[in-house]
Amino acid sequence: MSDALVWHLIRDNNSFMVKRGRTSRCGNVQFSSEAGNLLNAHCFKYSGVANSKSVGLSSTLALTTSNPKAQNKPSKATTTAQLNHRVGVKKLTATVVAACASRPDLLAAAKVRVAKACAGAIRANLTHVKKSKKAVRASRRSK
Amino acid sequence: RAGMQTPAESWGTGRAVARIPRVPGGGTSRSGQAAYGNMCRGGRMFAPTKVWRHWHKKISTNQRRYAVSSALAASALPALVMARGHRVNNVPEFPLVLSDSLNRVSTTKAAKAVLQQMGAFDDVEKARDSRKIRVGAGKARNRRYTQRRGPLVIYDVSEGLDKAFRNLPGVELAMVDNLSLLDLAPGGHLGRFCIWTKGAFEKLDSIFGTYEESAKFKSGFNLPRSFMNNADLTRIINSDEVQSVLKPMVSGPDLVIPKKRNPLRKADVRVGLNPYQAAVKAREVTKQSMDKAARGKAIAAKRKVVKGRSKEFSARRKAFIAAASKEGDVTF
Repeated sequence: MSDALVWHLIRDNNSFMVKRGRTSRCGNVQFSSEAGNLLNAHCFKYSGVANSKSVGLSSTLALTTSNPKAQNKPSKATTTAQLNHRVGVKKLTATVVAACASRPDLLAAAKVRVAKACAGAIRANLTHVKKSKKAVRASRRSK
Repeated sequence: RAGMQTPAESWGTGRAVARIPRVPGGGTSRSGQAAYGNMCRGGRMFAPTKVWRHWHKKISTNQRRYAVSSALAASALPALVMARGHRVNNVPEFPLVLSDSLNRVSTTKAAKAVLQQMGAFDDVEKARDSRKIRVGAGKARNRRYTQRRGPLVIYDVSEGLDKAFRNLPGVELAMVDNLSLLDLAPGGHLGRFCIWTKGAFEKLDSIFGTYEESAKFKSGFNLPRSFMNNADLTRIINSDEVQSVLKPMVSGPDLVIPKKRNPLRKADVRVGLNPYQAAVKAREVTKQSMDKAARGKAIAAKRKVVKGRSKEFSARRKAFIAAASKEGDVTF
């Protein structure tokens, strides 16, 4: 079914839509929480639900690519690949750029997202490393 | 009649009380209290709701059937079903049509196993985990819990299926002969997750008809036709037929706003603003590159010039004063 048609059916209301900051005096920002959205933006271009070809990257560096041929087979429609932040931002960007081969309009957003996700993952894992060193020291002292 | 069961009458004016009707009589705390008004304690509400309100709205049969057809079509698109909120990421195929042996499933345990095998149990879990006590007065009016809707199992013949599936949280059952919009598009939102049995799915053609023939069981009903045969706007716009008759694209003037460069940091920008800066810079450079002796010489030379000038000026001053004193007083 046409991507544009699906988008027009879900653009007003869908379960992934997230609105924040609404008050009686002003509007709100609209985000979209589905996995295949590189900007988490509520718009057709980045939508992971409406588009048959979509790319997504989560904060834990899980890269999701969609298979446009398997649109009516949800279990096969998306492939998720877990990326390793230790490989480095440059190599990760290359992987993500390769995944965006069918969606060149998403390249810019993909690169930004890889950089941010990688930085976040490095930061998250740093604290983990610090803890384990402490544990090592503690165990040495107890000996 | 609630709130109106007193012969209350207003006391009128002149008694230092509001003119609202008051309960007559005496000997009880109720006497003299205000009555009838929606603002009074124990009064009737504003515009008491009547039973003879027009509850049921008519809708033409064709419209109703159009809606059900649309809802069924929407339930076949995983995108719409996911957008509605169903957890269908592990379902192998859409629409999910299971063999007729599903009709003979007779225990809830077996039903659960079937759903788990078909990747449909995620949706049931979602419904189960969403069970909460209702917010609002409804909780005290026999509507205690709310939960999400799970999958809708559509069958044509049940040999135990309905009893097996009915206790699973969120799962609803429907016979294909009387599909309701309330089940297919709950809350008016298209894309309910439907699980079909083979017999039910095959029966759809005779119930709703096809594009080739009218519906057998709905007299005079034909499937709604789509407004656009090809709804893929991107493909239409990019097609040869459309692109070949378009006028060439008019691109506006390429506005290039140059990046601001700070003259305090960039020498070339500073020289552009203040051409004398080049000379200042050159002087500084020579000064830096001079050694101590050369610097001493330069300073001495400068001092000589200044001294010479000061000598000259003092000589001019003295000459002026001498001439002025010789001149004497000036009268106007």
